Amino acid sequence: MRTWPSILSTLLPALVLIGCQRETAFPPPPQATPKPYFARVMLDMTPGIPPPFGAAILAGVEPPAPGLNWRWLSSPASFSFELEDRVDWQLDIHLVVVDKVQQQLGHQRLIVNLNGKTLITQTLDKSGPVVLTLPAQPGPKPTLELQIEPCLPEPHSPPYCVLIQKVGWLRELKGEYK
Amino acid sequence: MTVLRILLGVSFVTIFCTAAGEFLLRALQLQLEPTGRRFAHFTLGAVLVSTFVFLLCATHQFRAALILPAGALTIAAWVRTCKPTFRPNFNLHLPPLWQALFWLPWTIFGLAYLIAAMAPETSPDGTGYHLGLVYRYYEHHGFYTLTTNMFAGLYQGLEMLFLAAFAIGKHSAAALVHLVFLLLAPFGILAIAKRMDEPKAGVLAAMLFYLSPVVAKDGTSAYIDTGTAVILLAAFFFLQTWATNPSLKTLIPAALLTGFAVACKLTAASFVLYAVFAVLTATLPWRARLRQTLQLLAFSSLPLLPWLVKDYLQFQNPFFPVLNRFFPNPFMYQLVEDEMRRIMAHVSDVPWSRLPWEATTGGQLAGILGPIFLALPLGLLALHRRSTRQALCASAFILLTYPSSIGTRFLIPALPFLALALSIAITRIPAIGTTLATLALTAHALLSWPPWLEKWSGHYQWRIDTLEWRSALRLTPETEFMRIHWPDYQRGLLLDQFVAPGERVFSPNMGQMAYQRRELIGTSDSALGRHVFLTYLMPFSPQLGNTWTRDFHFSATTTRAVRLTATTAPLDSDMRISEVRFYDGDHEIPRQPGWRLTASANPWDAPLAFDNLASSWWTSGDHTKPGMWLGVDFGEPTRLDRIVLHQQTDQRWMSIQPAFPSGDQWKLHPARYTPLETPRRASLRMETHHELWRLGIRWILMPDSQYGAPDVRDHAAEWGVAQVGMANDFRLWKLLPPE
Repeated sequence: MRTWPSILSTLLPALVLIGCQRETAFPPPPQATPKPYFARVMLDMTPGIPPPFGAAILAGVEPPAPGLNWRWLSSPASFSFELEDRVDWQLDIHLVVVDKVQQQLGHQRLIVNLNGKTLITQTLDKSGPVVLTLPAQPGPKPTLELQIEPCLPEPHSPPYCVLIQKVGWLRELKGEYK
Repeated sequence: MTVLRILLGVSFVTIFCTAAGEFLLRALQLQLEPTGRRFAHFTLGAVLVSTFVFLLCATHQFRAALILPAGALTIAAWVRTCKPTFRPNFNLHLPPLWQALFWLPWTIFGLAYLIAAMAPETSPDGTGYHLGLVYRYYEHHGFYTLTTNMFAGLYQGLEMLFLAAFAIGKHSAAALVHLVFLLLAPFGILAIAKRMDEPKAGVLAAMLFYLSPVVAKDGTSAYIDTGTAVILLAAFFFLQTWATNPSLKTLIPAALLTGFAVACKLTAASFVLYAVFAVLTATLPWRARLRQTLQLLAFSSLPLLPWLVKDYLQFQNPFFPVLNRFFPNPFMYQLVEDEMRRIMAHVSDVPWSRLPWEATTGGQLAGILGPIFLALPLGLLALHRRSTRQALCASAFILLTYPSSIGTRFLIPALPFLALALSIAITRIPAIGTTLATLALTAHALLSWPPWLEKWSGHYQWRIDTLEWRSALRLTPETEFMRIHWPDYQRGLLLDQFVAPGERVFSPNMGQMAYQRRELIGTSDSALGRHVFLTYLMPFSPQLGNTWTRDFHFSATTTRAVRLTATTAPLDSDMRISEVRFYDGDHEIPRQPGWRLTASANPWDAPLAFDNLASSWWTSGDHTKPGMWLGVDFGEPTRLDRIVLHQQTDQRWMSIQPAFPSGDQWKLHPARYTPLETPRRASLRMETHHELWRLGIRWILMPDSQYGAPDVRDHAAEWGVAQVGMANDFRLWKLLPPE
């Protein structure tokens, strides 16, 4: 019976002392390197990443698959966006040219149409990732169309053209805060 | 089926507790009188069952498959050994009038309470942390470290009983366990009063307590105040037993219940002082009194010690979330604790002179006791009676902690004793005592009847506001009831639908934890929550978004360490520093791995002032005081003549000076500085996004009415967020991964 008070009276001050002796000095953390920051209105094909406000796939993109950050793109594929009314947006397109398609069909051609006008035409002659960042004047509600020629016919789905990872708009956040 | 599970859950816990309690009393060879017997068995058993569930939780073994057989075996052994009778006994050994005054309101209000408690649980704290934590312990099979919610550090003695019921009947079963305490309270009060030779006062006091609107609301919700009151009553009951037969075996139940009351609600700690007072002032030799006091403290620590240890291991503070000044930790800023205490001590800014009115009738303190309690001073008329002095003495000790939290429900633990003192005074008035008591009880019952409360008391009070028997019996589906009565329900469902387990959600406005399983970060629930909140405010608050630079120049000094010391008068705000840079001439001294960064308060955040990120910052987490500092030990003599500090503009009123070691002391070094304010950077929204991401936030849940929410909505691309859902005006934003 008499042991409990002694245990208690020993334990509580011990806890206090241990609390006082905890490590409270630290080395400098990893140093962040200065980098530009971008606002993005981007359709990301990675499952779980929601589309930004007003952005939508209108046509030409196959359904997503779990664990994959790309989806098959057929031609023509079209997308719509809503952007803040600012002028310094850039178009950003992340594609992957597929080796198997290139081997069977040879070079492919990408045509980017913005609001019905051709923005750029580019030859895709190497398999692997392709990132296009294009200055553009999109307007507040741009519609984007990607045409790929030729594409690989598939018996049970639209022809496979390239893989798409991301498509959308970005703007470097610099200058004055608005 | 749902109703059966609910009833099974509460019945299981009730009988388990009763069986365990009777076993302990048999082991102690204590015989009790009939009126208080079941009350004593249940409350004493609650201590044992709660501690048992604690041990299961601590070892991550809490499972229905374990608690059910354990309870069933105990109950079976109890039936076999103790041969309990289940035949109801309505004879209280009182005159017929007093029997009627007891049973009539007990039954009528009891039925109303049953309907209220069985309806889906929607009470604020019940659906916040009481059942929110119970739900999480149930899912995790026990305790887990949840350092982002201060309520996880509160002792949860009663919640352990809720958990046992929850495992079978979910939320309403837990609320019904609390109802059992409420239903038993009158028997406890009556038993105590009978021992004081005040049986009539016992009936009146029992009903004054039982019918009180705030007690009714609390006792029919998954709260803990009424339960704590009943545990205190039981402790008092056993202290009475001990007083007539002072021995260890009579002291043990009183001690266990006293400790358990603290394990249920920290504010009951003052009752320990009463128990010590009662033992020390007993008519015993002083050596015996001293010995029994130590025994009392030892046994009362048994139900409490596990909670102290748990809190120490999880939060580095055995009394978390209070006393953080004595047990500093990274999980709670002192500033937030002080704010919490200020809010609790000044509910609705009601001055002390208005407390009696608001607590009994007005309702500004969240709930009312009932106007009859305005007559409490009458209790002093019977001060010459020992029974009155005992009751008032116990209530005085319990109320010692009341100034720290002045909400009406914090009066509940003392209420039975106050009611007893008042009732003794009323029933002892010669000739008209019985009439007065009958009138008082009738008036109290009529004024407290839940459907009539709204007719005379203010709206928007904390009271039983719906008695829907169809919902109680689940004839109205639970989801339908929730949809109508409680907007937070559907907001919470968004989280389970979209948020992955383990991802943190910053929500300044919603505390619903009981019907969703994700980790909510509020603005005042933790150090992280406050840090996240201030970070979130930066883009739209110039006070936090603009940069205040102090460029200190001083005579070149070679030193091993430096402290940036506040020399200002005490301030309400915390001390914050975003970046610190040291220079020798024109050259910035590169940060070295050998440096040691620390601070006089909240040293855990000190590295954030040295990470080259303007959007992260060290905060003292405490009110700025003269002498408060952020420091660096260079590890070797280092020459410097300039220090540049970046802070948020709200820090501009503060005076800061560098200090260098000089012998055993630190000396402030004269330095002149040039202040410079720079406006918010265009990238601040995205920087804030990155900082929130670094702090572990993946989602934001808030309505457009939240300060800053329109900015997030209108500049979603700059914030790096996308809306994934909306429910009852709340948008759920997902933070997109930083590129």
